[in-house]
Amino acid sequence: MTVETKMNTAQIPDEKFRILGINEDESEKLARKRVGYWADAWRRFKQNKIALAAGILLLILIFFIIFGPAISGYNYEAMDQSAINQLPSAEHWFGTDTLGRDLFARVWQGGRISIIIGLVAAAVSSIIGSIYGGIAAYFGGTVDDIMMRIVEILLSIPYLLVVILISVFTDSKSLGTMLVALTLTGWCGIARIVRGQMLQLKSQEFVLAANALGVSPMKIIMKHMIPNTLSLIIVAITFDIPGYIFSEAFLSYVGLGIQSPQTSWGALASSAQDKFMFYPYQLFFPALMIALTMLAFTLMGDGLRDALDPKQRK
Amino acid sequence: MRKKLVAVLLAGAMALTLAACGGGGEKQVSASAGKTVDGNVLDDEQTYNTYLQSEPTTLDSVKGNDTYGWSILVNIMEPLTRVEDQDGKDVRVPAGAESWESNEDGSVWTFHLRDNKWADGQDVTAEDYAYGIRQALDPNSGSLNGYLITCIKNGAAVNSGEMDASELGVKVIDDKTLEITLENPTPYFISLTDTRAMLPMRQDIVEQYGDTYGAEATNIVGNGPFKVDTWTHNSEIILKKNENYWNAENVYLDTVNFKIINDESALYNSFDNGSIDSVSVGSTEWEQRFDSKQDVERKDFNSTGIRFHFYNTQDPLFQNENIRKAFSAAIDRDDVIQTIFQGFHTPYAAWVPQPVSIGDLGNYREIAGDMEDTISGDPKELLLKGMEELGLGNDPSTLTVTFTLGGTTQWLKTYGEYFQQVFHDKLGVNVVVDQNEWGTFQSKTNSGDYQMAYMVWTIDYNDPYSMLEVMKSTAGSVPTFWTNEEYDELLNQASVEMDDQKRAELMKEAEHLMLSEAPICPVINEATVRYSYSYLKNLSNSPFDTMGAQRVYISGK
Amino acid sequence: MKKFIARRIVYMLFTLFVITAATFFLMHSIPGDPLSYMARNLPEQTRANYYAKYGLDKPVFDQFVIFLKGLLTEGSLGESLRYPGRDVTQSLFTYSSVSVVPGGLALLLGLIIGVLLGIVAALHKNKWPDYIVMFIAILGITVPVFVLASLLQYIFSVHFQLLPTTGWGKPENIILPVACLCLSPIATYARYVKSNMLDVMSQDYILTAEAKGVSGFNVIRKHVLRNAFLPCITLLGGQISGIFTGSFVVEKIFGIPGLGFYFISSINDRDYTMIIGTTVFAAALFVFAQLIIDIAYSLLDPRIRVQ
Repeated sequence: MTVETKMNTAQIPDEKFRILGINEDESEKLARKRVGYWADAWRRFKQNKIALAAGILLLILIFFIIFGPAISGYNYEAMDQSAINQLPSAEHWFGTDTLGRDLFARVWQGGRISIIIGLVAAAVSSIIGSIYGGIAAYFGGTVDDIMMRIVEILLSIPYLLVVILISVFTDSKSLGTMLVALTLTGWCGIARIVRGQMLQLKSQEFVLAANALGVSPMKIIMKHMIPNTLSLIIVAITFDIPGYIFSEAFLSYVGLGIQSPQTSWGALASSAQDKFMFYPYQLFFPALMIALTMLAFTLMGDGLRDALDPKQRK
Repeated sequence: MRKKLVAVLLAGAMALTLAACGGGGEKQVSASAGKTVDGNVLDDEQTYNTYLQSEPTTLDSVKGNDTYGWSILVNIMEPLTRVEDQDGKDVRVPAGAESWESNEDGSVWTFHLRDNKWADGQDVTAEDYAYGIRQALDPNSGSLNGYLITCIKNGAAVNSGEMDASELGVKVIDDKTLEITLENPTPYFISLTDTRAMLPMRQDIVEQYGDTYGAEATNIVGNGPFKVDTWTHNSEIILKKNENYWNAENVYLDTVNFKIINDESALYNSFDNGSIDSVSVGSTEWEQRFDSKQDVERKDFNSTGIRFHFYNTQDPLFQNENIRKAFSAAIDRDDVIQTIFQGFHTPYAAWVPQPVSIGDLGNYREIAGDMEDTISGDPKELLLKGMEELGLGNDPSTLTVTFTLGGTTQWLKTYGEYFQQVFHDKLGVNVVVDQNEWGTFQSKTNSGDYQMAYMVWTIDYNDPYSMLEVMKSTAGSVPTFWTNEEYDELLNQASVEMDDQKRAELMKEAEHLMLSEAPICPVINEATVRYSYSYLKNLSNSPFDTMGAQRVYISGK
Repeated sequence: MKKFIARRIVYMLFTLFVITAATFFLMHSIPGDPLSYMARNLPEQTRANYYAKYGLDKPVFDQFVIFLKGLLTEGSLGESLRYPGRDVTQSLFTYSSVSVVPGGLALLLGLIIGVLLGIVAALHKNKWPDYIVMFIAILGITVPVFVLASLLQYIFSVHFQLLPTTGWGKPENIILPVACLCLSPIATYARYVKSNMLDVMSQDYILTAEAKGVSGFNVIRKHVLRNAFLPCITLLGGQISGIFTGSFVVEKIFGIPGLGFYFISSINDRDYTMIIGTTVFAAALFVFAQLIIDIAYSLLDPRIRVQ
């Protein structure tokens, strides 16, 4: 905390002085009210118009994912032989697939699976990954060596083998199985990034100071090191969410993905791939949804990064 | 930093230039240029660009078992006989053997070899063919094809290691005469002479290269119309004309390029832009696209693959014949083909593929009939009857059936989803689709851990027996666990009956019997639509043709 | 430093052993066998002969011991089961030397473009160059590679007929694969570099440098870039092994005879020796790259001391 205050005084830019001068009443108020870390972050996030827009886009997507299948008026698994491979129309907004199923319903139904997989897997693996990476970096030495060797082992065992084994072992390809399969090694990447960053932080003055004051290691990791690594973690998460959506698509592609009649964006996209020259719209809509989700998470992530970064508190 | 950047950029540019040096190529004028065949004048360049959809595992004829390797082997090896498509009829023609005869009951066959040379100039002898057969049956050679020729005297015993190869019924009379004695009279024996199990092999070459025989272009010597020039694994196999071949003057092509293209759209794109000269198409969209292409010829034929469902007759539910029949009767084959394949392929209720012929009698299917009468009745009634017999009540919605699929392609997923819906609509049962990758599928079905599954079976050689044998009680090839003594007996008779007419009757009866008990349910006879540019002449039109590319030529490219 | 490297190499060998053992027993516990690549069941006798020939009839533990013996005494990973007669070690070198051409060029291109874009975006934060760069970066990873590859192939090979569809050996064969492969590194580096630069630019020592009157350009060059690159080294280390191991999708679509194809196909084919071979190869590269990264870190960043 002491360091942050010091930095604040050091970094107050010229504009602030001017604003104070112009409106004395407001400045009095601001000066009296203590702005906490989270409140300050939220204030800065709100100022970022693009991040806000991304957030709204995400809300719209989530709205459709929840209500879309109902709005479409079709059952996502109902086949209609009289309406095979139809172009988007007033009846079928996104067209129909090779079995005559309504794509509008399918895209949103698939979105449920994809978004859940993306969010949950990214959340779980970034939590595990940052704690693991943090511990490794903080203790260093032998602990770090052993922990990083475990990560190397996990990352090196062929992923498909593990997935096949899990699906045979649990005899299911449910959402839960999928999440286990995806997160089992998914956290390793974040662990490595976090460790790399924290090795740098570890030797910085504020950590040394905390150490000298006798703060517990866990507290140092959670309170000082992780917040200072947040920007990197957030960037990694925004890569990870679509990454997991794609991983699930790849698994669908090799027949190990989510089980029929359930579907996902990835599954829809890969099933449309081999005939995309003939029915481009079947690929376009799921791909667009993936792209929009990705865009929203990325822009929001950038906004969050700026807002949460203690070094950028101005 | 800037210096480093420049260095890095330079390195990249150098790598590109280096890569660029590999290019270049010259046009060669073929020796057969200017010749006239069937009124067509041959082009200067006689190169046929074709494809394989997967890398051959090996060119060792006995260790491999895949169709890709076979496509190469028919071109580089000379079997005793070949099948030639002559105006739509499959005719067995002399190849390595000039002539052959059998004794009266068909248990001893004598082949008279013609003068032919290996690609390295050595004479081809009867011993080379005998060695190939011994290798195929040798339990230590890693052969996957011995089972095809266990009809040869002591073949099964040699293959299991109980007997020495010297006791095999294969005798080299002299350099040009090979005598083969069979365990029993085997009417279809001649059909085995152009399979992997009976191709010639050079003992000295096989021993020289040991385990690596056939693994690289340089590690094999052939005696067929072409020889392997280069083999870039998983990319391309280039064959060149073999000047030592006995019929070399009637081989027109100088070069055959087999491009290995794993991806389906890449394959069609390659044909579309002329990188390959012909392609077989499996979907309506591409069919329409190529139909509208200029200077392209189309040829439709039924191939020899049967797509079928099979039931686990040891499953508590599918042990009941009426239940099996209900699931078979619920299938509307025309609708399957319309919905899933947009009209592609042929609806098919029989087990022996449509193009198969029987001896000299001609097409087997025309003799045996379409077998549509083997399953009849209302599917729902059959189901309820079966449920009653099993004491399961009369509410189909209490049943949940697993439909096990092996394979990871998208259309198979669609196939599963389609039947999930169809069985639900027509029978009122719930269906779970269990899609596995192939290894898991095989393991599950073989151990009986399934209820109903889907598979494709492609015939081994051109005789109905090859297909019917698969369903024998002892075969275990399709794990239905179905056994029927009468069926086995009919097939045993058919396997030794020398009269084609009588054999046809026996096999027809067996096929009908088997389909009526519904351990399996054939759905589709695979069809192929082949497109080729019109400069490509003399392609074979039969799935059983084993002439390779030796008749093909280029005219007017 | 020497002691550090020696210790790490010992760790490395141990890690590789654990990876090998784990993969060996995992792959033998998934259903199927090396004959399952075939579309059908072979007769029992044929299967038994095959098993005996390749030692698959022995208990898994014995097979592991035999494998280890072969590896340690002859340095041999054995013979491929799917492709009889092909030595796995030999295959790994042949195929990876193919993969490295498009993979290396793509990474190089991706790194250069990505870093440049990242710098541009960071220097113009929240202005239009930033938005354009980030938009490009995002686009590059929102389209699945298999879609992009098919799309490029269709446009350039079929529609305009400028480039070959598939094949290997000519320079024009690698253009499309490189284009497909470099998008992901561009996006990754652009975003990481931007993010790191912004971090570094708000640090005290930059302010100090600015306050001391060092010109903007020199601050960026001397302080910001150097520190912003550090986390990229971690990324690069992960990707270096990737250029040898290739890409399944791109190799499949463009018919490149590289190693990437075998990572997936060996598992589908249950080609046990090839699974182990590819795994050990990739793991060795990866683990070795980790060591290099750690050394590079300590050389580039004075604050990290190797203990």
